[in-house]
Amino acid sequence: MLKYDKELCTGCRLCEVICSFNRFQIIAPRQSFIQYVDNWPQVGFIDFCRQCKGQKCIEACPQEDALFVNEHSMVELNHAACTKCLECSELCPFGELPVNGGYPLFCDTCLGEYSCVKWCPTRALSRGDE
Amino acid sequence: MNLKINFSAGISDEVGMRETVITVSSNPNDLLKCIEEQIGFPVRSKVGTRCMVLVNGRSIKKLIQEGATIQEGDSIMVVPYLSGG
Amino acid sequence: MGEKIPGYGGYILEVDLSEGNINRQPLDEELIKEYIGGKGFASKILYDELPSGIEPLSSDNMILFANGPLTGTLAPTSARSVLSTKSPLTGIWLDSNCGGSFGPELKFAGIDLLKIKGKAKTPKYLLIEDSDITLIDADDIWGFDTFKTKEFLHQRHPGTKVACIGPSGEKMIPLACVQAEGRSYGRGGGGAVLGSKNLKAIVVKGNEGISVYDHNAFVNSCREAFGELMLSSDSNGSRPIYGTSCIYSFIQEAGVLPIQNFKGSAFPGMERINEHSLLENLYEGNRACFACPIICSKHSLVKGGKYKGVIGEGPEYENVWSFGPQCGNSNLGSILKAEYLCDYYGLDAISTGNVIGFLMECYEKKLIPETEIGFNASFGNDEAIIKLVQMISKKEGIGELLGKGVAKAAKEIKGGSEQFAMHVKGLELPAYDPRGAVGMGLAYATSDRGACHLRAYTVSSEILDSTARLDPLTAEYKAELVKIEQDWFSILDSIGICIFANFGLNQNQLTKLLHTLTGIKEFSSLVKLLTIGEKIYNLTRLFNCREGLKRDSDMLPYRLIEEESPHISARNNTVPLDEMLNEYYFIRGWNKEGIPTSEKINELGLKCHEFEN
Repeated sequence: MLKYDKELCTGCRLCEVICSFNRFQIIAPRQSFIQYVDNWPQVGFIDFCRQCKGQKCIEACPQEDALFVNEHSMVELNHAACTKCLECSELCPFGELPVNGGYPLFCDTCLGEYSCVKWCPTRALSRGDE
Repeated sequence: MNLKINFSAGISDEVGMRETVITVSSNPNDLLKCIEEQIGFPVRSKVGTRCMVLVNGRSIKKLIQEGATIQEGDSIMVVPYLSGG
Repeated sequence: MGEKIPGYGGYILEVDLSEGNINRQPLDEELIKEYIGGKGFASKILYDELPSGIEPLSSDNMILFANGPLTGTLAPTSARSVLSTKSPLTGIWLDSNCGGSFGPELKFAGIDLLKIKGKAKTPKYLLIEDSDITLIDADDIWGFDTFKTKEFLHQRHPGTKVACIGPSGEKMIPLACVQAEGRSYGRGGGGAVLGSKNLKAIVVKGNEGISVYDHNAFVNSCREAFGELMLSSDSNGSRPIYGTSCIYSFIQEAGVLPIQNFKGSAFPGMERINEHSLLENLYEGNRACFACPIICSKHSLVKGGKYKGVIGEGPEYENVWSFGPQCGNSNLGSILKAEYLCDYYGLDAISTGNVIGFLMECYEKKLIPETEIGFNASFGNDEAIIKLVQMISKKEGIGELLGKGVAKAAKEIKGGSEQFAMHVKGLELPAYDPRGAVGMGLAYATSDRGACHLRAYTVSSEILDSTARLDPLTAEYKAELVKIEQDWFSILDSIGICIFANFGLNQNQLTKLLHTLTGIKEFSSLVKLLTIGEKIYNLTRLFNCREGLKRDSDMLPYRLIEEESPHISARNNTVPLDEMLNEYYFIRGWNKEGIPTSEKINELGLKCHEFEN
């Protein structure tokens, strides 16, 4: 999973840029699965799914088949079944989940590519233990 | 003669101090060598690309070009190669 | 019109505040190829659509916000956008550059160029959410400082970025700036123009994406560019640690740091101010603009003394100078406080500090009685600085005159003060004394917006020059250097990246970034880009010539020509302006009055009928 050291973060949002660019072939930070939240004048923090073992999100989800564990052992959203209630985000122990068009977004580490880690200039983002 | 030498910005981090005193001759061609030997900072390989040495605020290269000498009371500063602010 | 050009947002948004009309049109491909973006777009639009003689604070003026193609992309430092208008401070061309995150958000909303015309009958703010654009009543926030405005609008419109004016812009003070997410469109009174139009803020959220012409090639170019920046001792050495004040010691050592309105050589406590003391005493943490690895911005906290508890983003080198040495002041806490207040009210900190230093000299020379100020205003009085910033920002007492700028203040105060009113064309000089680096004298004199260090920055080349070809104190080669930089910086101001990236990256790398992003053939040639840069600089020159400017405006304050530098390193130098100016006009292809000749105009493909003979 993706690891984040807030102390090293500068709020540059390159993670947002490369995430959307790799996923959708366009630069659309708002659609990125990792979202920076500012806290001017201090640097803020980023919201993203840690793909943790706890999976409180699945527990919290009132729909039966909106959230599931996929073949890569990662939490994934089934858009068709999602009602955008964001209970998953409410109960996430790491904070809030990034949201686009009302749907919560679950980082999948680019299936092991970790693009944002490659582009983070300060190494605030790194690969954690699987 | 003994002269005060200052280290500006990031150079001070590289040498581990902001100022000190070095012993130099009046020959500006020796200045870089003196800095290297007494401070342990490889200034000769870095000057012009990563840093510059100023004597009374003027580049050491200009001094050498002009055939000027280092004098008592001169102020030396090692500066990183910087852009604007 | 074909498909959107890769790299661009794709739209021009035109807002007529008088009629309440909002019009979103596809961006013209010709405009892109001829003028690239940012300052380029602004030069073309304002030249074509703003006839000469317009009153800057009238509803006839127009104000633009323009992104570059690289703005909001993967390219390093791609945070930048440009505000452009006719300046209420100088009455001439203004373009003002800003970092942070506002420009990129406009870009994600699809906007490459925002044109604001007319004047709203009552206060409004503009809300942009992709193609959903409305003007909303701002009566309830008129009067808010810029921080409160930003917070309020962020809460009402979550996820947006805000550019706004504070009370100073609302009062149309010519020194007023526009604040945008902690950064500024600083100089020349852009804030006053928005105030004159009753536009309190622009609030934007962009969910769209920017396409890229050649995905792999662009990623590789960006990767290379980041790598290059990480090798530089500037962008990956001193600047991330010390911020923009990384240059402080060397500028002072070289005799280029102006003290006490460019006349002093020292001031009490001056050894207490430099990049080391800022790091030790003020800086709390780093902040980066969008996509930037240089991280020059700091946020600070005053930990003790009179100003304990003051926070802010900064202080920047220019503001350390304008409230420090310019005013003979060594109290670091007051410097941060003064900068904070400028951000709070929305005032340009360079001009504000400059004019306060000017007032202090007038006070010491008894050109203005203490009763007219209300308190002791000698150099070094930190409390006077804070009071004066407040008075300028609220148009109170002597602050009303000072807020008109140092040129007008000197005209009113008289007593010979015009000789030390440090401005060119009405814009206050920034933190470099050109008697110690004369190329800056030419740069100030020929800058299109008045005294500015960002049209050509020759200081480092002059002082640190490793080939020893340049002498900071003489005129030789300066005309050439200034011309080349002005043309190249016009490109930098048009493509949307930060001037600090220019140090670590070479021109070919920047050309590659542009070309792999957009696929535009013309952008693959550095030669062609340099020609466009020259064209843009000539166009802003023609804008000014049309307003009546010629050689006699390309001047410097009396003090810099006639009074010797007080700094040892500058060896009693004055600025040999005439000599440099003659050579500069020749190299530029301008006539002896500094007006572009018809040959030059034709050569550049400009259509400026007023100047063809």
